[in-house]
Amino acid sequence: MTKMKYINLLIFIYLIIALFIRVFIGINLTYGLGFLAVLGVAVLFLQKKRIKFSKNPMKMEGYPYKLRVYVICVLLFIPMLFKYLGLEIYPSIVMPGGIALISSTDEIVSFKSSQLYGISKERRDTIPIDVAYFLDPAPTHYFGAFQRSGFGMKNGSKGEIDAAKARWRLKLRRIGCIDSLFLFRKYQTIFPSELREILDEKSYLLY
Amino acid sequence: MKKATYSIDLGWASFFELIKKNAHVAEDGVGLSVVRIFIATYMLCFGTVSWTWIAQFPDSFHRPHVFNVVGQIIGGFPSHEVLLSLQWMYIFSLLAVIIGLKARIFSFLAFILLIFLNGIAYSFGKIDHSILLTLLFFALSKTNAGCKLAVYPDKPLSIEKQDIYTGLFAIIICFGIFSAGFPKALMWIDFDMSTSGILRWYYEGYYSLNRRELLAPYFIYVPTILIEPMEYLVPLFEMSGFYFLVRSKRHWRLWLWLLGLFHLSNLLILNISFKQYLIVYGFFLFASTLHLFKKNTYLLALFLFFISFTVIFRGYELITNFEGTVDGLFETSPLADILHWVFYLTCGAPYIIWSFIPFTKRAKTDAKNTYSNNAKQM
Repeated sequence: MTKMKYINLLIFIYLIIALFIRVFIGINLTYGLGFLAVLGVAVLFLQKKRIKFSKNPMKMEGYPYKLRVYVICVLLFIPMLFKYLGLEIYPSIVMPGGIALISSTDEIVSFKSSQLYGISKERRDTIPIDVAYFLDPAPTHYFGAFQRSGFGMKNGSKGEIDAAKARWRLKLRRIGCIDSLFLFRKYQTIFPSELREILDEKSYLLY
Repeated sequence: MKKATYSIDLGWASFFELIKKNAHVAEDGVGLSVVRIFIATYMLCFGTVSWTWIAQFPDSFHRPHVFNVVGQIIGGFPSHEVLLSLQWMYIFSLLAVIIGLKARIFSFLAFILLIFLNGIAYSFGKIDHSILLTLLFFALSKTNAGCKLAVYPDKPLSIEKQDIYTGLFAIIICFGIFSAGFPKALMWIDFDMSTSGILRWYYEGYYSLNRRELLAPYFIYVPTILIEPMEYLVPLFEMSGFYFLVRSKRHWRLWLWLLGLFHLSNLLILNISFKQYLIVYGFFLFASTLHLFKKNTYLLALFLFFISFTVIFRGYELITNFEGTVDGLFETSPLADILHWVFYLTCGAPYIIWSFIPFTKRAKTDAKNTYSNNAKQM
């Protein structure tokens, strides 16, 4: 039996024991170990399939082995680690995970959401603004990025900030809102009742 | 130390040899050239082709990520004229790839332009994940796709060299999907029925983002006991690309086909499309399917007629909206997106059936073709 087979066997036994502990005692020891088993099996598989070379592959003509494995690691794994640390590299080969969990037993779920409001000229009341219209021609999913940049009114020269303000004023006038300000609200919304709690509120003055 | 690095190199060489063999794209016949034409046409019709809108925003919106290399280098948004000329260079590159006008050079140019133009768009502070589409053009530029069905054909590369790049591209696809599955495996495989990652995607989409089309309203009736195994299967499937890639040529194609099925189920339940990725997976799968029909000239003529018609129509649409934002060819909707994935699965199915169903000749020969025989041949 090779070393890898022992490791796989140990992981398998551990998973079985952890599963029993999870079910009968309620302590979760299996957290994140499933992937280890898969990696173990994959390594075992590769070990089994190793090709025997007749000569040193590093000396073979036209082969990319001179790059060595650590260059590949730098190009592939480092950006992935950076992404998990919250620092995304562009260009890099990393896809979004979307890993968050929710309780599947609760009757209600709650999520954070954001909304823009203008003040209606006629009723003097706040009305929600269609984000797709407001950001157009920028894509709607840039909303978060726009909010972080203060809708272009946080950093930059006076001319740039004025240009951003003029842009939003025009947009507000077109939907029948007063053009002196708009509001941004962040909610925690409980579904399916749709009860909302305001987490954050900001007003952006345009004059 | 020297011995250890040699051992790593040997392991890597062994691994890469297998990948090169399995990611090999048949280049006799016109399969690869048809794939080239299809990829460029698809990008022209459904990919992003306008970036001039960026110039409408002042530089106070320019907040690139710290490691957005393009955003950090340019320092601010380029002018409308610069963006317009780069955009038309990109569109011209796509047209050159379609008609086969030095397709290798123009594929590479399209790759560089996509990196740059997307980098500018991501300077608003949001990085989208379309890198595989960008790298597809790099892979295309390193193959013999431009040698046939071309107005001005490329000089053929050696098969050995082509295999290195198709192998690298296969690794990149596997790694890209792996990077999405790995963090999920850490969180989702918890043997805890009271938490759910899939339901988080579902409820957030359904309630917060109003994704309520297709099968989404019915997913709520699926019992938790059935969702739990799915939570383990999804990350394991996403992480298993390398396994399928080193397993065999037909297993690698099977994984790509299953990815199509995975995207289709995502679309049906969560209303998340990712439809453009079908050309990334199709680069390998379509070429293999076309290899089965390599002598069918009627199919080829029909394909070329359809492509010419589409390109002329799309070209007219782009020219009439010369400076404006141009959407995809058809209005995007979940129902239309289903057609994209159904098309992908239908195109890939002949190869999968031919190579896996036991009564076909191919499946029999593949089963006999064991690894040890291949190793001996080397």
